Amino acid sequence: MSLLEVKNLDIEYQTKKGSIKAANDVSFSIDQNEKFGLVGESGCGKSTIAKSLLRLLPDNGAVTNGSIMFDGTDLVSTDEKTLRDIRWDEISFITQSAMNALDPVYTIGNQIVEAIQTHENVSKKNARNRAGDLVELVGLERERIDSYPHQLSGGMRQRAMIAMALALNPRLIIADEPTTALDVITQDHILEEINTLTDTINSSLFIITHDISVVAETCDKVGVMYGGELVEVGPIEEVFVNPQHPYTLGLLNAFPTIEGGEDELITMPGQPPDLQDPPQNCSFYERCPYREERCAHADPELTRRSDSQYAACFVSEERDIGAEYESVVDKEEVWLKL
Amino acid sequence: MNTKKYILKRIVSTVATFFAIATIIFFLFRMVGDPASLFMSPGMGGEQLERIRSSFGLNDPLYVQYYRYMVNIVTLDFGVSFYYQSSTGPIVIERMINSLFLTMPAILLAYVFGSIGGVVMAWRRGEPLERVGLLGAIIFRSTPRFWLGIILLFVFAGILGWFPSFGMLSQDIEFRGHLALLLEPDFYHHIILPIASMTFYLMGLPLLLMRTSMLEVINEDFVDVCIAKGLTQREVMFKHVARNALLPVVTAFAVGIAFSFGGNVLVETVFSYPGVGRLMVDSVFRSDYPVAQMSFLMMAAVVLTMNFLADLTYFYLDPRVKAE
Repeated sequence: MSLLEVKNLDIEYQTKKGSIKAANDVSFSIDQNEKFGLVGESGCGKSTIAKSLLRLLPDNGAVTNGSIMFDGTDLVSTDEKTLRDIRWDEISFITQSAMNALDPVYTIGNQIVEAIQTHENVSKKNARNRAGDLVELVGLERERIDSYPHQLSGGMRQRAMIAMALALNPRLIIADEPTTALDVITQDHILEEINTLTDTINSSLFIITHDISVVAETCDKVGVMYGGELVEVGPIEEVFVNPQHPYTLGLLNAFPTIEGGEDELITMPGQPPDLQDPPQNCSFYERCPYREERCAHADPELTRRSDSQYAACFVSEERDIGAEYESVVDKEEVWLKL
Repeated sequence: MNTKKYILKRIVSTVATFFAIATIIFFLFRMVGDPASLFMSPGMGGEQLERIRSSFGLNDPLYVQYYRYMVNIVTLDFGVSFYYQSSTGPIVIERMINSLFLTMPAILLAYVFGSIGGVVMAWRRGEPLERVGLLGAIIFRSTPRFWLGIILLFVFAGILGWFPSFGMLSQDIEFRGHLALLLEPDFYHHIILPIASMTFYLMGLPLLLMRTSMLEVINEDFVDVCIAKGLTQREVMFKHVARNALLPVVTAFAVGIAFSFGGNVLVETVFSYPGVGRLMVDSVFRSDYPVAQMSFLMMAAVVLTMNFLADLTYFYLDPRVKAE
């Protein structure tokens, strides 16, 4: 059974210029001990989904349809009290920027102690001891619990944040762009840290990133988001080897591999759709090199491609776009010919 | 920079500022009026005037006067009042304590309730409660202090007759030192209205400051993390957001204390309260240098001390200050 099941989720933001549909009919699930990566470019709605899981959307954002089932509880409709008990104790959250995620006026230790004491009836001394252990676990010196956030480097702060996220052995850790604000070397360490530590405490991981190599390094399963919609989802070995959506194809070639292969980096020209006025047809139509006549008139649903791989594309149901793409020598040309 | 070094530096600069102010006050007073004229009566000759002048040391060269003035400040000897003909120190100190009894409760009440009000208003953003609070704060803030005092006097002392309309004590009760004053119910009866009129006026600033500051902090990432940790709204608001938003309010508090010393001239006048503000104004009119000088110096000392204390509070409130 899945630990987290997001079903037909719609999220809208109300702005002065009208409403923005940041998530449109998004469904996916995360199993126990599974690591799920949600990837997509900025503004595609991936952070919105992360925030909606813990009901952290800003006042002008709301889930307008769908459900988020976590171990039998619907996080969309459940009452404040139940939600508060689930927060951090069962689902913890590592935020986007390491810089501002910690309260500047309290020490690292006090903030971890606060998380522990909110959910468990333990003495301050006991909680402090555990905070010390946690800080050591993520590779900081024990004394660091008495440091204030500004006394730590970006990487150290993110480690402290991870320590706090692990404090209550949650069953799911949400990491929203956990490495974006860090330099490349630190990024790698932090990612490894998150990866192994979630295994240590037997937790599932939901990682949100724009960097597909982060997903490749950490996850079992990947969801690709485009313009507020999930366009492809499946185990990474299937999605990465045999992508079924043209956007996934483009993404896979848009990042350098660690090995530094011969492949050139491809940029996809064009802009993602305006979420204030979302297209009625396929959202990727405007940028898609494989588009056909029907793509201009209908919006494809996610359909099953293999055991557990799903994609929302009419074209790839009949044509092997992966093979077609591979056979082209100048891949840049594929995107530019539009 | 370490804490001790920083504090030492702040002490030195505070003291230096004080002496700079003392110098300015010295010259300022020697530019206006001749105090000896205070003792003139028709029929007095120039000779007598000279005698009065020399008895107060007003005939000495300016630098001698200045030197004497500085020595007196350091030895806390503020001379003899031209007007009261007695030692200045006790006169000013007594009035100052009277003023403190009025100012301190008013400013404490204003900042405690104002800050809490600001937190609640930021928390309840967009609700009718916020609009009412905002309107009230702006009305009280823009009402002249003496006007609010007059209204309070008119309603509660005049029409309703609940409170006395002037002074610090009823006429039949003798002033027997400040300690006795604090035990005297009649004193509290007198001081409620002036405190209320000051409190309402002062409350607007911390309330608006706190609200604005809160609204800035509320959008920070760590607030999301606090909510995600499972804290209640109240905990998030008071323990985290308000705690971070408090800094500008603390500055205003320190400056507010200092300013309310000068500012309560108006309240003291409306309620005929014997505070230092009224003394200051009176002694300027009387060209009573020693009293006026000491009043101004005391005020400067209060402002500087409060600023210094505000800096120290920053250490406690915002650990980042230490790093700078």
